[in-house]
Amino acid sequence: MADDELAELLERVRSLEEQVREQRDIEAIKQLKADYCRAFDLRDWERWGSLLTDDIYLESDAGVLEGREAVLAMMSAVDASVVHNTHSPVIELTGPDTARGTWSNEDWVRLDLGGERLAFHGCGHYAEDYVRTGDGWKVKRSVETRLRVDPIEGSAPLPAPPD
Amino acid sequence: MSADPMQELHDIEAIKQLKARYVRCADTQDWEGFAKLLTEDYLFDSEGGVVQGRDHVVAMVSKSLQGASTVHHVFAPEIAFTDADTAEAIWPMEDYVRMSHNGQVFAFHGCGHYWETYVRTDDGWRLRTCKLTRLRVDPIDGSSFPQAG
Repeated sequence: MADDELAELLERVRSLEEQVREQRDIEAIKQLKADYCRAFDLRDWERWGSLLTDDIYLESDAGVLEGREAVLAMMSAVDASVVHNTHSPVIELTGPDTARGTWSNEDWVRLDLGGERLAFHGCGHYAEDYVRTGDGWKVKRSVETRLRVDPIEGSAPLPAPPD
Repeated sequence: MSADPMQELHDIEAIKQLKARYVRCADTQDWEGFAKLLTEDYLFDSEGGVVQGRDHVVAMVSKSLQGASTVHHVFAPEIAFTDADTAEAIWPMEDYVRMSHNGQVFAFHGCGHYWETYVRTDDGWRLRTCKLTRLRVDPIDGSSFPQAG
């Protein structure tokens, strides 16, 4: 085989390896989000916390929370039954160890806020940043936006959204 | 990265499509298509109890869902390989079910997880076990649930 043919072949192999690595990273991030939702819905705080970076930034209609310890303390204190069904991910690698993604989300929530029970069904999106650590991909930032929120009959009215 | 990283991606996609076929065949009540996705010793563990064996499961499900309307949606899965030819997955799910039981119609919307195992056969990936756990079940528009037992 001529040198230039060999060089072309090696380049193709390198390119294919790179593409496979990218697809595997995208799949790993999809599974990170699945793990994140499952751990959250099953109230497995140790597992859920292990999927966040130390400086996790979480934004939703409930406000902004920063830092794993603060996020865990707040989330685990709420008496709730929750289901997060996420689908249709769009994952983009932004560097060798960074990525961002959007997910469609549907959730079913029952909460007890100081004795007042409220329940709703919501739909919206997550916009998220991910980072690869020595222990695999982690969620670094998650911003939730809503398309709609419908109270479930018989529950207390939903609180007004924050300004 | 495993010995053959591309093979693993293909296998993950094949298992996703296996599950998509499974819920489509169940909801369209295509029992012939449904049976082809299961191993002969398939084990199904749900609120209805444990049923083992493909023929038993298909007979039980097709009978209990006669005249029923079901919709099963599955969402972002976690899929892991336990061997070169075996895998396991967890699927978040929701279902909308309307059926009659002892002459009484009941309907509900439920959410939960499927915990499953798969095996690669000469005809491709097949479901070997499926266990359903629930996060919530809500009755729909005034229908009632059947009494246990």
